[in-house]
Amino acid sequence: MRSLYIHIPFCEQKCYYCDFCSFVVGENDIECYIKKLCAEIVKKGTGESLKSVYIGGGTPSLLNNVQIVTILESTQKAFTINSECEISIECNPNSLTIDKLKAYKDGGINRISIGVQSLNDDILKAIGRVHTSLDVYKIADKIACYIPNFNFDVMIGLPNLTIEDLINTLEKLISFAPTHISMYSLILESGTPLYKRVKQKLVQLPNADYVVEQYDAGLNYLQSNGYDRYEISNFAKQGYQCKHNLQYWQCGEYYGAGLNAHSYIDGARYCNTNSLEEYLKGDFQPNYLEHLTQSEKIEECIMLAMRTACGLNTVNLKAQLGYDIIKEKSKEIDWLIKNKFIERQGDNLCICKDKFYVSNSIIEKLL
Amino acid sequence: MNDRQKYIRNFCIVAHIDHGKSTLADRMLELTQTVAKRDMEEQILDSMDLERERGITIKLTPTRMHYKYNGQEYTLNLIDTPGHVDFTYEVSRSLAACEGAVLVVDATQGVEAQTLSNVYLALDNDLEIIPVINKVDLPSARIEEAMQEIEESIGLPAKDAPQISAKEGINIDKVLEAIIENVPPPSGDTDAPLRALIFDSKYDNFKGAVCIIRVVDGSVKMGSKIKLIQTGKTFEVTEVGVFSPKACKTNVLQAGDVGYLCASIKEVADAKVGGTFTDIDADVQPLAGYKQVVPVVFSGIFPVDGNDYEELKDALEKLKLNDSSLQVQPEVSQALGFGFRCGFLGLLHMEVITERIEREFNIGVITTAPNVNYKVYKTNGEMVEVSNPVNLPKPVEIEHIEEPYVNLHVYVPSEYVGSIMELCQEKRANFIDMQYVDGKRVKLTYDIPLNEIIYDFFDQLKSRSKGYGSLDYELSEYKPSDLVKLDILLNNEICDALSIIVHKDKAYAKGRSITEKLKEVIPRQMFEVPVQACIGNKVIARETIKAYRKDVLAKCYGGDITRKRKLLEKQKEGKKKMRKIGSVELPSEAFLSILKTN
Repeated sequence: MRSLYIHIPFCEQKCYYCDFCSFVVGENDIECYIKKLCAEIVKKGTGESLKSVYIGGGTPSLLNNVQIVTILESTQKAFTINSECEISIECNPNSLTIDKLKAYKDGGINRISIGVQSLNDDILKAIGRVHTSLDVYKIADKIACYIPNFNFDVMIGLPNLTIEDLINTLEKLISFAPTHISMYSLILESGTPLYKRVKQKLVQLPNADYVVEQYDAGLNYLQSNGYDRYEISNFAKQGYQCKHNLQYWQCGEYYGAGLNAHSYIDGARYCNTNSLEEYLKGDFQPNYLEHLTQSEKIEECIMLAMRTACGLNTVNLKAQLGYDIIKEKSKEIDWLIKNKFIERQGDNLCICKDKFYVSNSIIEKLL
Repeated sequence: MNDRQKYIRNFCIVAHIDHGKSTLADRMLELTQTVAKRDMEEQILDSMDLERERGITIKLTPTRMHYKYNGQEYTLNLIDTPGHVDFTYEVSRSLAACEGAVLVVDATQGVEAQTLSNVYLALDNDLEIIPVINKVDLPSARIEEAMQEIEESIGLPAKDAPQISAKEGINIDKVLEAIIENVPPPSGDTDAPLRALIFDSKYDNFKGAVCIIRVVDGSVKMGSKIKLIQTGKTFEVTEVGVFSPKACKTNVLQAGDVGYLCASIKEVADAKVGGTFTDIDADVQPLAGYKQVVPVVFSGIFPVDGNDYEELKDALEKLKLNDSSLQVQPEVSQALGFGFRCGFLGLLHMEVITERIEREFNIGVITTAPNVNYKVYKTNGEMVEVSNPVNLPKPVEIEHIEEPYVNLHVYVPSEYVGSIMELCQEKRANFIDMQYVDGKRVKLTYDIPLNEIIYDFFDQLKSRSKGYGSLDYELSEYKPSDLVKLDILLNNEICDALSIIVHKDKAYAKGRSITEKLKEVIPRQMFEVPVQACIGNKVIARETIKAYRKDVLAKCYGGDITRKRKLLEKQKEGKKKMRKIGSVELPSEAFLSILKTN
């Protein structure tokens, strides 16, 4: 089964660290965009059953209820959405309201992801978030009444973030009983305002050692509260792993709709235009990115699967892509196992629990 | 001597680094219209990028110029020479092709040590010396003092020395006229059998070896059948020409001329610098070659990528062709695989060679710590020479070790004497003598182990004397010394390429500074890496490179997958460029950083 990603490229203000495709625009542009987006979804529709739908951004919660409903209706028209389908939406705490929660629920959305990042207001301000901790407290206890399956995004590696801040944030968030928490590190991307500030030494980012300490502290806290790490930066209560993310990591295929949205269909990767102007003219023809060769498919499969806690199923890899990694990389695998970087669990190779932070180096040895 | 020879002058320019030698050469080319002003590049004879960047002349370049004087046209052959102490050998080669030398003295600095040693070389070769005082336009010029120094330290009359500014082009004509007036024209018999000295050569992919020659007797032209006296090998000349300053074909080169010849010489060894060409059937004595120079600094050169071994071999052979002071022998290192043990004239020579390999041949190389040649007397009465620490016999087999000492002269303004003496003491030097060269400058003489000056002595000297110090040395003798082999262990495995031989009293400090330095330059790995310095089994210093802590804790969206895969591919590619010692990945700088410790 395939999935569908829908991109809403609008924000009230761009966060200083963000290099995603999003813009600050007026109501009119948003209205035009939604029309085109729905047209694209309908055009791409095949009627097939989808595993998951993910409305990401940007800030999808900026859209009004009519707009959201229109998108959901187009999706239902174009594809088959059964009750098993996970439908997520990304929200910013300050633009999420009870009214919207109701509309989401009525429209069929069954999972919400809220970008909290931190509950320290100084830090939120420093990274250019538009919300405050108060915005979070105002809405957080209402979410579960409408959509019980919800996630909080939390960031580590933020300027001036201490472990105490992080644990404090996690503790408060967990009290709202989310089913899922994403905890991931800030990545300094060139071209962003934060990048400039760091280069000008106006902002200092914590060193790698401290980020790992934060990660370890967060990991322990989350695990002791019943959130299992199922991927490097994703933690969930049992049964609440995000299906849409798993689709990516299990090399599943997906349609992408909206500005700059990526698709992976029939072994080829595509990307929509990233020019809002072009998109509003109705240019949905995705730009072909690459048709994956066998060895690229193998590489992606290894790379993505090794990010997950259950690791890479070597038997499936051999059956599906004809690659016997146990034989081809025996020397590397032996070394990695001997030095306790990876371990075997049945047919799977997985990264040892305490070695996730060097997963790139580990994965690289397996490629 | 025929009329033609009467109007030829072959000369070189001798000067200390920075005294304006290359600039003077540029002005001469301009004045004689050898190079049009609009084509003028700064320091045109320094054709290697490396030479221009460092502001030094490494290779010699002969250039033919024409100049009218008193109604007569003269041919002036300028042979540019290097100034640094490591390249004395090159200087001695170019001197053999000249009858005169222009001595450039910087009016703001006076006569420097290296200038002196080159002047003596020139005098030994019976060259006519033309002193020239440069930079007279600068406010800090001390023209009178410079003249006095020339007269006192060299014993040359300096009263009539042209006072010039090469930079501003002042009085350049006076220099050319002094050359014509004072440098004798070349002797030699055009009708005698050919005798041509190869004083430099380079390799051209199409023409084979290009030999730069000074024709002493006879003549040579395209089609001439010639032989190299030293090997007896015969060749047919395919091209002769001169440099002005680009290579130009000519019909013939005759006695007194400086130019080049090509003769489809494919073997680098057949165009050995110092050899003499003659006519195929002639039976004449070879011209005096050059004093065979002995390399004093040795280090291993290894390709970063083992697959480049053959290319590295080829590159070294081509470099050897015009630098016979470079010694090359194959070597195998446990840590670095196949490579070469090379002998150099000094540390700068070593740096220049490695940089030329990287730039001109585009091969990444790793250079191991430099060593000198030790004489190891074994308990069984045998003596072995060791220039590679790996070959040092076991301690129990060693009766004693002797190391080479040099006679070191340091020239320095008197206010820096104290700090320079301190430096020498730190370097195990024995004070011999101190003399005032003039009112302000002092010549210090020391007996010092060569090992102590091959690392950073020159840099230290320059920094402690604000750039005014200069040095000169010659090998003196071998003396017994209490030396030990210092091994470096990475992750508990010896890395043979990092071993060095040091004096016992300095082993601890050196061990500490090397381990500290390695901790800085070796990137953190996936696991903790102990770095230890050991003498035998005894660990004398230890540092720990902590495990790399983080390479990914970020999210991975559907849209990131391609980018992430490419990033990993790139990362994997980058790792290939690192050397693996056991399981430790080492950047090539790690090996050279050892010499930059102190």
